[in-house]
Amino acid sequence: MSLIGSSQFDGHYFWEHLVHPQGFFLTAVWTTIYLAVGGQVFGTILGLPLAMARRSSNRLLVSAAWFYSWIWRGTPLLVQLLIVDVGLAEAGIYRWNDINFGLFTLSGAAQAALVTLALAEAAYMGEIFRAAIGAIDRGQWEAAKSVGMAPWTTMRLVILPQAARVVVPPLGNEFITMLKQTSLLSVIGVTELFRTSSDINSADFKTFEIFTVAALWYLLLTSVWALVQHWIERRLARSERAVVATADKDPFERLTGIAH
Amino acid sequence: MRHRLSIGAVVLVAAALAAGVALAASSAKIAPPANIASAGKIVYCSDISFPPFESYTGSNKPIGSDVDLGNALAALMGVKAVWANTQFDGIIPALQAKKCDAIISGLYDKASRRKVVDFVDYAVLGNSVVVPKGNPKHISGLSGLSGLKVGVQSGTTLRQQLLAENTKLKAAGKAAMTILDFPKDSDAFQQLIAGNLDAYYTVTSTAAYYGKKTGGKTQTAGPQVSAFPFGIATLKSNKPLHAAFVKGFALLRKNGQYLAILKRWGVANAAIK
Repeated sequence: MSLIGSSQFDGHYFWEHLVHPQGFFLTAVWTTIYLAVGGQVFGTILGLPLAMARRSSNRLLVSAAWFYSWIWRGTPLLVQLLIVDVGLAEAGIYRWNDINFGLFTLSGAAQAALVTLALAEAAYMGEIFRAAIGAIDRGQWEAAKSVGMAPWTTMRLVILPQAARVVVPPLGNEFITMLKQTSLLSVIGVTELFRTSSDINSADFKTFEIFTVAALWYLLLTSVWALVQHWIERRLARSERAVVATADKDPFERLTGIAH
Repeated sequence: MRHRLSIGAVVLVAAALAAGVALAASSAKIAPPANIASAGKIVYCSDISFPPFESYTGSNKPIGSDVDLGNALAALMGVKAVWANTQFDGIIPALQAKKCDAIISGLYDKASRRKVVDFVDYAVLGNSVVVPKGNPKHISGLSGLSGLKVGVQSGTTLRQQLLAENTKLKAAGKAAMTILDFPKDSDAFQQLIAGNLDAYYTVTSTAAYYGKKTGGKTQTAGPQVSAFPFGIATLKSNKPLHAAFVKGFALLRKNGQYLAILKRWGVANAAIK
């Protein structure tokens, strides 16, 4: 390794792209956001029944849920994306056609991306929910039973509200990963933040400048999420504020870990 | 005993190496730049996903007319050619970052690129719109793509032509095409075959290659668009290598090797006259 010598860093170019992003760049940022949020929301919704299935007494249900997680957690997202998007169409099984919602059109590639992100995420969220439900003391179930609560009511009113608090920190990790892994969607032709940065790079040859701009955008998005997560944790901890110390940290402290 | 044997082996290997270097040096018809000579190799950046110019065989060996040309030029300088598979949209930055000595990758010689690299032009190619067999959407060429889904490789001149076409469509009050760009040219072709695209835009020779390879699943639509030279790119600061390529290419043209390479890959019509 050797340093090349005189710096070629183009500060003006960097600054222009950072503070005056062009319309197509912002569209790509928006694509990154809605696909990450959509993937996480649907993944979370699907993850809960998956966790329930794993805990059920029906062995078929347990095996099916285990099999699902085994497949989706055990294969790379990049490979899954190519199979779901171009693979299914090539094999003549299913083709993702653009859907026009009036206000906007969801492209076939974006649908394939959303479905793949959600299905893969469900497998991870299923594990997180399973662990969270398992972490609630057995005494809670017994206490609920002793006051005559049915198992499902116990789950809904006693276990899940407590599990939700345990779920939020790992969910935050999942969403940050989700935001970053949207960069893989470029392989199926989704013009997100990374793809558009690559396109700019191929025209201007300013790799360091443009990818630093992209990195700062990812950092901004993950930082905004840190604030949202803080808010969620505070809300969930309303009943036990004194117990959940982390939720009492203010936003600055959450971002930096520095108390002030 | 073992000790003596291994010393013997080292001496033998050293002798063989010395002989090899001497041989390589004597077979060099063009003096390579000092850094290439001492490295014993030229490293080429190439996006190896673009037949018939560069692609991989089933056994992962790079082949194609660009590959043969690069190998022939390296051989003239008495050094080895090493192929660094590099994604096209980052290929000039890779050269700037000195990941390789030169680019041979079906790279069009254009004014915007000439600002940062030198070119030795070695072929002239045009572009074509590729559609499924029978042309179900009755596409008449580049100007007939309004409202359709078109795939192209990211970072290419082809993509810029599509963007320019979209500007024209919008100015004429017509629906723009949806441009999907992919990391590799072959990805865009795959998406066309899978039916995810209405058309795919590429270099005519590549279109012809795929048409043949898939047994006529695809065809070109409308006339060929524009024609640009392909060039071997080197850094502006690396004049000695550029000069060596100029000499080397002239020699390959004179001795007939150049045309033989293009003929072997079915792209003789792209030859520089």
